Amino acid sequence: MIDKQRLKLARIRFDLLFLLISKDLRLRYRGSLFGYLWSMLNPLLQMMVLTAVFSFLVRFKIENYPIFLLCGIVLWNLFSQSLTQGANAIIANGGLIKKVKVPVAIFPTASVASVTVHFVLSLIAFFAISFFMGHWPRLIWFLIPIYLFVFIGFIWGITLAISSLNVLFKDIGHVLDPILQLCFYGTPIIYPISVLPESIANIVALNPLTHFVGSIRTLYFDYQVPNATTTIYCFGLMTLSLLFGSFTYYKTRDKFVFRL
Amino acid sequence: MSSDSSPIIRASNLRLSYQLNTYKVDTLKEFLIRKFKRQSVFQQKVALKDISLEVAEGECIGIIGHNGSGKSTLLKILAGVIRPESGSLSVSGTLVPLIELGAGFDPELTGRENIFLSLSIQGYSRQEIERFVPHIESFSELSNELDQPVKTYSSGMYMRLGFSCSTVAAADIILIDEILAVGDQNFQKKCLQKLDDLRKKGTTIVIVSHDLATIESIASRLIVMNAGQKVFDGPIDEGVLFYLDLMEQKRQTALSKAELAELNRKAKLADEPTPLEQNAKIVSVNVFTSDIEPITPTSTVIIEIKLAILRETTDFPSVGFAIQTAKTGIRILGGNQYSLGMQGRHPIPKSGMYSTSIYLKNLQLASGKYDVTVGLHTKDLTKTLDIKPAVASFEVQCISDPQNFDRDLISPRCVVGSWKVTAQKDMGSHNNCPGELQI
Repeated sequence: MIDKQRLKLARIRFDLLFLLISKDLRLRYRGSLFGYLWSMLNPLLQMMVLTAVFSFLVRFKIENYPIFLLCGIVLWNLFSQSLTQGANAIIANGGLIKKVKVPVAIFPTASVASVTVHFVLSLIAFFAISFFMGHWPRLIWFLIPIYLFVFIGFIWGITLAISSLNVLFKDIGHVLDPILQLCFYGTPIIYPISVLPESIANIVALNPLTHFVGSIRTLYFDYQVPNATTTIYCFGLMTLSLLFGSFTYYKTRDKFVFRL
Repeated sequence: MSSDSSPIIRASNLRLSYQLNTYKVDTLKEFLIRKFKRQSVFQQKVALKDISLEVAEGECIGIIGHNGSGKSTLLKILAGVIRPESGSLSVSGTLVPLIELGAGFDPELTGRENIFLSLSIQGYSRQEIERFVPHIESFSELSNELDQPVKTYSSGMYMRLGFSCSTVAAADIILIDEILAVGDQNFQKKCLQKLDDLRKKGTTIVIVSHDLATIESIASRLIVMNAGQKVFDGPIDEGVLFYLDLMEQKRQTALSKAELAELNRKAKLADEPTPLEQNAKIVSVNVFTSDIEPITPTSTVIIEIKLAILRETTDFPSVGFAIQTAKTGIRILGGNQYSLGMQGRHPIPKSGMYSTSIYLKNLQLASGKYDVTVGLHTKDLTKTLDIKPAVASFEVQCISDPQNFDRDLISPRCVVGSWKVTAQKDMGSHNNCPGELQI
């Protein structure tokens, strides 16, 4: 009986999540000419700019550099957009949270989910370019979704923590942008980790993103299974992030009403 | 109302305190500095002290109190928005808070999309909501605008949609916070009607307001809040008296000592027992007809006035009324029971609730809207005890002239007795028989 009720509650939450995602997607492109095409065009344009810059200014010895770069950018966008959107998710819904009993965590979750939907849309363009450039799929790509799933879990935890803390300390919203910028350059996205001197490479290895981007890129770009250490790292980081996120959320959520 | 069944809301020893605004720490810097200095980070203000409350199924209770008494906080705890610091709360059944109509509407989304969003937040599944949509469409009278973004709605349309969304699901418990004070009068009437229907179907209603008349018209039990404490819990009539008395005490303590001394001195000089000003209040005014609606020029209009006498006085206060046009404010008639020579047998004015009904027969007003002003005065009419200008209104519909093109105040049909048409002899040769027209 209780399980049945729980099941119903879970269904209702899922419906709400679905509504919030579709609301987000619909609003983002309402009134724009290209609509959903932008989800695909955006990373493409970004790739073109960065390829142009880095093919001429800095030359990394990588075959098929645009594909290498695009893979990194798409993953990076998934991370940074989730965080920037998620950070304000609770504050933006403050009016509602103050007046109606809602599962507050659903708002940052919806942000991550809708960015994920975007990500999936951008994959269409991504694979089209990839094939066009002669980078063909192999069976090993079937492992990519597993690592992606772990990465999204990691992002979810972080977003939950940031969105909760942002309600109590508005500084977080301001600090987020420079930190993200630092992360962008501190993660091997535009460059391979092999170009770094060992001392700096060790520091970069401390960055969790290095492992997530690295593992997926190994699968996609090098057609190789990421080594065990990286895999354990990724799963461990996801667990830690989810624990940290939910701990922060449960610790702070009773104060939201007074701070919004 | 079944008071013996187990309560639908049971709260015991609810307690809540929160940080005062002046000590609000908003930035990490402030937070760390205060932590470092070992200053208390927050100054606590107790908002609710040990509130216990039981509401039976189908009961309709009002919560009243002046600003900052904790009534809205209590409602938010009942709604599950705020978690109490200590104490327990159990609510059995579904609950809808009407704390703000249309809270959570996204202005960019269409009305239909917002219905789904709003009801989904309330906890209904997709299939359930799909079944609700036609009902919302008809109650809100928005079927043409439902597919337009909510930002294009007028505030009235917004409210209609919000109210429809909140009441369509017929939840077991409805919590209402002041919302009925807004919106146009027709909509208010419709809302009250809907709430009344729901109450008859057995919905439990908890309403928070500082307007006595609203609460009095809905609730059967009253809780009076003061400084975070429940100071009264009982039948509505006693509650109203208690509240008015409390407000009066507050007003007096708010007066400076000098003012108070001056008042006492004057009272002594005049040898009055107690200044009557503080002793009688109008609680609610209701205008209706005993005949079939709508009110026509010949219907009997009844003005029902409920008043509270807080302390025993010598004479029953004079209850005066006046009727004026709603648009132009022209006074048509008015009076009180003494000036009309209708003092009759008045009850001895002990403290308590009194109800006065004034029957206006054959009012003969033309079509239009009229306001009713009610006032309480001392018997000799030298002092005003309480006055409520345009506190109620009613509409007259004259069947022969519903639009009232000529803007008459009095219906001509009822005053003109006969109508004579006589032809002058030298005007024409064919039609010279005098005629008489009888209306």
